[in-house]
Amino acid sequence: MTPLFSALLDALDRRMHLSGPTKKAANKVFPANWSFLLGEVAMISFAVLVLTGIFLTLFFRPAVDPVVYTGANEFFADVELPAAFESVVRLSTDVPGGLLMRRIHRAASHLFIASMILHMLRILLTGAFRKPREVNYYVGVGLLTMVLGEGFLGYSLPYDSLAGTGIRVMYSIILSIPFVGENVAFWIFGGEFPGEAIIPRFYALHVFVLPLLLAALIGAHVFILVRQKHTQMPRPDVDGHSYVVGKPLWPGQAAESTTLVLWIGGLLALSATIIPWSDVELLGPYLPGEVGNNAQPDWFLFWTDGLLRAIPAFELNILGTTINSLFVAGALIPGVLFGLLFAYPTLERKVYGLKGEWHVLTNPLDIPLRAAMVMGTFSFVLLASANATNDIISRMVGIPIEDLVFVFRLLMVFAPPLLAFGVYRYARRRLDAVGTDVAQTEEEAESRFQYVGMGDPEPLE
Amino acid sequence: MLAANRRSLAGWLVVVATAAAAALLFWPSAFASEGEQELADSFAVESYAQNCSRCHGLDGQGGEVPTDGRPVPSLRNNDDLTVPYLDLVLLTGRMPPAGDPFDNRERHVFYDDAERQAMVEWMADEFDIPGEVPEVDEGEVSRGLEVFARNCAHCHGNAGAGGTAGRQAWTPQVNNLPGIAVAEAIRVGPFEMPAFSAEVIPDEDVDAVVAYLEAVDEERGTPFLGLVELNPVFASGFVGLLSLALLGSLVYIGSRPVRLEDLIDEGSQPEAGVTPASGRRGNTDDPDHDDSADPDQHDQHDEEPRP
Repeated sequence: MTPLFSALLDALDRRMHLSGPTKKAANKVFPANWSFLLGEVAMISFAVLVLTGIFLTLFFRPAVDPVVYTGANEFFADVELPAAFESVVRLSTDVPGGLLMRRIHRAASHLFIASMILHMLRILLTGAFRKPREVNYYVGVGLLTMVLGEGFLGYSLPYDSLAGTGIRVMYSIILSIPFVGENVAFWIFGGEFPGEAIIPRFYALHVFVLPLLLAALIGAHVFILVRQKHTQMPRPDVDGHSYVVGKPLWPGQAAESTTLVLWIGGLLALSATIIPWSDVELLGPYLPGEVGNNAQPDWFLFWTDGLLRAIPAFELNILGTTINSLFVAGALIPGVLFGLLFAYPTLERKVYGLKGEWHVLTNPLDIPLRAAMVMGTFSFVLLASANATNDIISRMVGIPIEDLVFVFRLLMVFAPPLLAFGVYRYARRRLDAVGTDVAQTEEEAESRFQYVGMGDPEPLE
Repeated sequence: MLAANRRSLAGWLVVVATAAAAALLFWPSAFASEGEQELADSFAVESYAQNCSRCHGLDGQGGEVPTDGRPVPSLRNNDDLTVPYLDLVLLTGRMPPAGDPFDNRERHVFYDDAERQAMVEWMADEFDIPGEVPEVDEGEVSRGLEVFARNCAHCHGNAGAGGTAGRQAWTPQVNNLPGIAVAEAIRVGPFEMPAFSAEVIPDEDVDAVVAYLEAVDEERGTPFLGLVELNPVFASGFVGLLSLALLGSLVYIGSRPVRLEDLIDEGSQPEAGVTPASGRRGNTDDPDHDDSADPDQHDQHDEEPRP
């Protein structure tokens, strides 16, 4: 499709001469690489979320007071339901197009977070976070934390059985914060769990506060990107440190983005007809005190649930407060992981004594610390996530769940460091084999790569 | 797909399922007629000798499993054993063949309805097993959902997808079971499951739970593939598929050469974007380089100096 759009936009351009002013205004070129589109996919997903979300707000009722459902769904014929759940059932069963909108919203939320995580992996692995782009990297990590929160809130709003269980777990984690936990939890929930206040408050956060913040941060993210220009993949024939080479915003990249928007929209709509994203009507409303055996958070918070399941229950009484396993799993370890993410650019720069600015991406295996850090943290998070599904795995494989938890504990403690160490050694050997160390300036890194097998380098103009 | 359509489809499914159930009920079973009672009994005698007696003994006295020495309950004078229990164990494939009856994952069901009926009747007679196979009536789906959520979901999961309940105890999936098995299990409390008396769950509530689980079974899935998302683990699998589709799309969109000249007949490449290759060597110098395969040769091409 892209060639078609290219031709159309190009024909338009010839007649309107749009690229002149655009180039002067945006002055932006886009290096051609498929992985550079991941961030754009996240933006498109966000737009879809806003549009479908607006539709959903027209029907959703953010409250928990009992309402008698009178629609066509036989599961809830004339049953008293919490207003929020009742309105979701009505959306799914009685509002034309409601179920489609709900499913697209849900699918887009999954895609939003998945593409952000993949985007972050690309940034981390290739080193696009190095000076001068640290600030934008911090904005990105901030975006990711906010989106995880936004996803949790959205999961909670329907107030189905799983949502209520999730809120209950969150309440317990907040309670477990030393010294201030109880006060904070009561402040957030307006009293004891579950209370009447939590759904309206979550709603305000989910549809108003966080989307505005997200939009602002996404704007900042893109603005900084435009100011600083793209990084690019190393090419022997390009002096990437001094120039960025690629398609212009108009019409080349505009054509590609148009294709992408239509493609992603189609993918989401199609998935909503094939995949039952979020069948909350089958689960029933949240009944305080009842927990289903299938209670799990959404996949992007599996790792926190996996930590909760892995860490043995304990309580330490120190300094007149209590530290328990819930706090460690739900707040402390996630805090440490995100702290690592924030600290990493500085860490790499300090450890290798890097100097100057960096615009050309590198193979992570050229920087042993980076390869080890990504391998270590991501294998840990993946193993913790897998542990959140241990009841399902136990059924599938036929291993008793207690043994499985034991295996996962071992894996979570020993596998990430071992993997990280193995990758570190491999990367080191790779450098030693050609007798080099990590390059400290971009010129040095490029000189190793450029003009390989092409005779003497020409002087750059 | 519109919800209304889904409902009407579900309605038809209910009609069809009810008709099928009625047909099965009045279908002459393999051993139905008077003269074939003997046939049924002889089938049961033979089947018992072949499949049950190795562990339960020829006289139903119990003992231990020959291979691993686990204790085997007696079929005679056993206070725990009733006809519904026996029927349930055969109906859900817990027995035979001898395996671990506590392994609640998908099992192969050995006997068809007629054979099971023959077995249960003969064994009840032979070993003096009390009780009767219960009957299930129409139930109220919405009531069933609430009864299920309050009494069953802790172990069997919301909507009955099954789960894990501790060492070696997997709770079975219950939304794909015949209603009669659900009704039997509630009263009997097989294996690790507690029994629920009529005071806790009255008969009409049992019928309601059966109706609810059947409704879930009909409701499940999408028009294509019949997929179902009963918990976030299923969802995470779907997200994996979606992400793969995304990556495939990106590689396809982002790596394809855009060959303008194939589409444009308005002269040559647009002038916009073609700049002298400062800081860039001509690709033609590279003998290994194939121009036609390089998308950037046909792309509009820009470079800008970094600040």
